[in-house]
Amino acid sequence: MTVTAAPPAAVGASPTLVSVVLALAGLEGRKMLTHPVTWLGALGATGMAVFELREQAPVLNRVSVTLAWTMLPLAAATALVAGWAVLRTRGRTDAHPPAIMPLGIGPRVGGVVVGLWFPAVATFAIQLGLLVWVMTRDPVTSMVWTEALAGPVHVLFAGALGAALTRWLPHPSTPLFAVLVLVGLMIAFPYDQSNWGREIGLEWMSPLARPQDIIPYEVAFRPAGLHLGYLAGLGLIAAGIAMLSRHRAVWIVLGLGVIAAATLGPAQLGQIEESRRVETMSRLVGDQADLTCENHDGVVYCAMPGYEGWIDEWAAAAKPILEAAPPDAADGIEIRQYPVHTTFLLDGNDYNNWWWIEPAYQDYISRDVVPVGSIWSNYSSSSVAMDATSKVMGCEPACDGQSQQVAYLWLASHHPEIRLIVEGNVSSDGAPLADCMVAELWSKPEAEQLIRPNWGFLSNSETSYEEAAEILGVSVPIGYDENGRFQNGCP
Amino acid sequence: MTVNLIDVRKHYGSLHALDGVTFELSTGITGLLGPNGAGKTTLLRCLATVLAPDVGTIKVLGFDPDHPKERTEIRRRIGYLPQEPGFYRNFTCFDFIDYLAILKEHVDRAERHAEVRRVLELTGLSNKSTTKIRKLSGGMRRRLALAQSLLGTPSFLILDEPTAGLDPELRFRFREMVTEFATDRTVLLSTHQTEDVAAICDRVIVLDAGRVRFDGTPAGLIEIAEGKVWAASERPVGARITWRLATGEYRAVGEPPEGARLIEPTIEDGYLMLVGAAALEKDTEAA
Repeated sequence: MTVTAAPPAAVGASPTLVSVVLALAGLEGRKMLTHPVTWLGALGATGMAVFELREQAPVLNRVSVTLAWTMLPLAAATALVAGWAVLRTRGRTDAHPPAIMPLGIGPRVGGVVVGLWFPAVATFAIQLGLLVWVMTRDPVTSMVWTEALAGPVHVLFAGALGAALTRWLPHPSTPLFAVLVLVGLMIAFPYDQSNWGREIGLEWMSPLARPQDIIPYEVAFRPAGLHLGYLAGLGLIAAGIAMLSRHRAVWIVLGLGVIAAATLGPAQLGQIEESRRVETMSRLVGDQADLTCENHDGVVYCAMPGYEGWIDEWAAAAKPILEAAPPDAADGIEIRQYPVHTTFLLDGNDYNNWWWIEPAYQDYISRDVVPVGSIWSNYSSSSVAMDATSKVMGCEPACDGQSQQVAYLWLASHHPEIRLIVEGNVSSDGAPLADCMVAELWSKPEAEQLIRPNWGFLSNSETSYEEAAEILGVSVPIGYDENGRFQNGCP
Repeated sequence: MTVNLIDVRKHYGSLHALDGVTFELSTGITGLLGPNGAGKTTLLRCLATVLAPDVGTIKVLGFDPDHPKERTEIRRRIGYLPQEPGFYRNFTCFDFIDYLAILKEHVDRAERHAEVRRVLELTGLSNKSTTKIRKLSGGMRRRLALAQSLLGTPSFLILDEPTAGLDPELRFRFREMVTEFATDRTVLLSTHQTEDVAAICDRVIVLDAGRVRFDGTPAGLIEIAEGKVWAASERPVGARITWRLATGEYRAVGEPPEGARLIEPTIEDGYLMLVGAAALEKDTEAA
């Protein structure tokens, strides 16, 4: 039978591929956003952020980084739902209605990838919500948005990774595998204090911050803007792979991506090692002229740029200490902010950096200056009070031993928050604290009258516990028993 | 001409699902009848471009499904209701149809949503648009599958057992909808419901063992059984097919039993005669 085919039916104006992908992205994005797993991820991310930020002083440039890495649960959830979306859009069988729809598989996966902006925007919204909460706690410094935006970009990258892997391996377990890859990358190539990732010279590959408590995870291993670009590049490569998949162009994308990462990554890292020191020093130590100083009741308080909001806190913490000390001891004291942890900020493992920064400490810390200590942790008034007490006692660098500690603790006891530290058997130089002496002394209403006239004797490091105890009328604590074991007990 | 098939063959191992099928389709409703395993679904899948034949030529709306670009053009213009369509259980009815509408390149949001509402209305699912698919009954899912096939008012509609699981009222609505739809379009309707074919098809093709056994009008199919359908008071012996009616009489198709009364055949009788004859031939060949 000879059949002449009818001429093709008139073709209407077909929509452009971009418009179809965008239309699909709207639906896919909404589906991903309303997926219960995404909500679980969002809940996990928010919970983790609240937990971390609750313990942190509200320093905004530190908050920026915390807001980024705590979004990782949401990134993992996005990897899962994006993978499932790709699995769905491929169609399970040839009897599945999507199987005969004209839109090809590449644009369908493209719709999923483009739709990732929904969870990314949701991530940003969560960050903003958390930021509003932080802002209610009188934060200092300013947000580093290029660092905070790593959160949404993590979500984009994870989603694209989930889509790419599922496109290649269309199996229900593949999205879970994508999450494992994500976690693996995080463990293998952490960008903070890396372990074997650095040892094998592949630190530059790291796409993610490792959520851990190593000091200070808040500083990226490459400048935030560059890292953001690097993450976005990885996301684009994953998205390209997802959309092209078996198309031969995928190998071009993959090849170019690997070449770009392999050449730009290490080069970038090399530049950063140097620039990071200068930048961090400039940002954290700065010039003495950059400090903002205020006089409170005759005491000068100096804060680094952005930290001026803490001066009132320091004054409130130091005031009772200075009032309790003999006027001569507290005279001329200046309380100045000092980046104690700068060495760690530069590089936690490289002690050359430690010594490199140390001269900065010597340059401007004098006997009369109370260094308020770490930028991050010495926000608490108890730490300020401890530092102030130490300086009033003339401890340099710390109060070491004997009766000096008795006076130190007595002074510290004038601030209620210090009690906790005193009772914790902590000494700045590791010497045992005279808990029993202090407890007995505090129980005496005339403690202040006993200490003030004998200040010089008690604060002299040559004076022993026994001599101090005799003057104060208290028992001498037992430091070691007859077997030489440390006791720090009461007689 | 909407569809041309020339000597289309498809086999799965030693099984010849399609064994030299040739026919043409034009505007109107064509019923496709055949016993289970006759090759109906395979044929529909070939026409719907989800399956390629091993041998033969298929042209749908003038396009060749062998060529990727032309295959896409076909997909833009056809509607296909699979026999057992897969669903996304957690989608709502509206989202499911909306999703497929996007895959069918309906880009404009307002127009697309209007189209989604239209097909849901056509299939009586308007009040279920926000219901999750997992909560739908089997019949409702069938209607939902039908709704997706109607998206964009396709030029060629392929329906694989569309009325299976539908209640009588919905079947009548379906007939009304399809007949209206087919005034200027082509519908190929595969079914086991011979009354549907009799009611709405202007042409019927009977497929058996991958071959076209009959291609003509429903009246022509009925004619095959003319003078061969009987009513008897006793169960006839030797009749090809017989069953007891509600009146207590026995209806027999085939040679007249003793004392039987000749009655008017239906399309089902014609189909049974045809398929029964083919089965007999097969048995004879096997013997």
